[in-house]
Amino acid sequence: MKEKNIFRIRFTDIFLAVAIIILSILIFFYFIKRNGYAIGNEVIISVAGKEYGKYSLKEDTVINVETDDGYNHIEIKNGIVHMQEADCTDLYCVNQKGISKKGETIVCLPHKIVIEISEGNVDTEETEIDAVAK
Amino acid sequence: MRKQLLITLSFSIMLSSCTFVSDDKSEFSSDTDNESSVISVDKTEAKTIDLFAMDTYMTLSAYGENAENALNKAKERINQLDSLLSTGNKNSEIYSLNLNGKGSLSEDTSEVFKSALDISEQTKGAFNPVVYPLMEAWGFADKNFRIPDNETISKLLTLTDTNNIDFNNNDVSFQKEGMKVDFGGIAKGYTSSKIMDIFKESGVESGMICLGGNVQVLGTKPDGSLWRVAIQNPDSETEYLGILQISDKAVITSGSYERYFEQNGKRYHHILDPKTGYPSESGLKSVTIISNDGTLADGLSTALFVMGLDKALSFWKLHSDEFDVIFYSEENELYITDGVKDYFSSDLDYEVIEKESL
Repeated sequence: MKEKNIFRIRFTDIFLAVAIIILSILIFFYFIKRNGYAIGNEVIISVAGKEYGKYSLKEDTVINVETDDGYNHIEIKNGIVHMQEADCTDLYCVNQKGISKKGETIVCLPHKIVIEISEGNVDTEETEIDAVAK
Repeated sequence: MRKQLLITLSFSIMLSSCTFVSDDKSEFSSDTDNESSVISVDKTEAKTIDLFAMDTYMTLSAYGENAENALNKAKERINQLDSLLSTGNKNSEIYSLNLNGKGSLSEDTSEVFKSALDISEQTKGAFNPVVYPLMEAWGFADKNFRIPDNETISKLLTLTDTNNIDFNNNDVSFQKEGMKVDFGGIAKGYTSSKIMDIFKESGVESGMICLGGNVQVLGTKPDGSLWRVAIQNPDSETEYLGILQISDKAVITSGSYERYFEQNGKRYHHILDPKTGYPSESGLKSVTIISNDGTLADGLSTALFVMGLDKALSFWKLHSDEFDVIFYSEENELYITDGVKDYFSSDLDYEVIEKESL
């Protein structure tokens, strides 16, 4: 009699099973999402072809780059990189919109500075690109 | 009850951790497979170089066993063309031509010049290689930006008639004193076409180059898939205008959003209308040309920007076998011509222009 009771499936058992399955599905999507964002998000700054530094796109910060030709203030904020300020001759780099995705660059030609995002928000394969025409 | 809970729980943990691992692995498994396989070992690894030349930043990538050799040759070629075509380099052919009003040109310079004049003629002057005196007056040459007065502009406009250029084989002379040529609107496209030739001659079947935003691709990616080229959105930091999936094409954009200066709250961009001498106000923010021919794509991106949407579409209708276009207007409207409709995707609304509808 006792054993029979143990193996009888009750409503609460089904409820629990469903709850756990839903939970596992949520965990599944959480990991996919997290995994998508976790691969890179790296901002690489180089000066005259030499790497100056690597930064995380997810950490807000301001990087002051001093070159022989002048200075550039680069801001990383809310996952977007901007050239905040520079004393270059054309200011094209400051006028340029911020960048946030893999393969995008901001270039300050007069100071030979290249800011590149090496791995962006790789949610899905759809956002992966090989180049940006501009 | 407990037993069941345990089984379900461990099952659910297995499920989530398993997908996490396999998802993680799938990112890299194809790479490792290829590395260990002899057949595809030379195909998957891209060789990449970058350099500053032609007043811009360039990146070149090539695949295959001859990639390194091809890239070195390409770099040499870029520097060689730069030293011929630069307006600022005192040793260049163009500098000397602009100074003396005449000169004997090398094959390359002559070819670029002839292409430029050809595109100028086809586009009825919307592309003009001799607006350089005006570019100088606006300060786009030396980055000392200023607004020239009307008198200066009308005086300089008399120097921009391409009929005043005499071409005799590779000898060229200007009939008016003060005329100056500048291949800024075409040299990068010409260069990228020449790099594709070098890639092919070197046995490279797959490669991609980006010369300051001018993209040209050779073949497909090594795995056979199409290259994904995003089109810059002049208004957004997080969204593109769209993505093109292409092979063997040049994708070249001209826009008013990249090179400009501001004075008294007004924005002055670098694409001058050769007819007025002022920054073009044609109602477009950017024009992207997709073509097999890099030189043509470069010249036409400027020309069609200056023409504006209606004239540009009439022009496209006559030459739709040579190129396709993506337009982005001042009203934030996106138009694409029907040759690329199957290769273009975007989160934005866009209109496909059919040839028959024009």
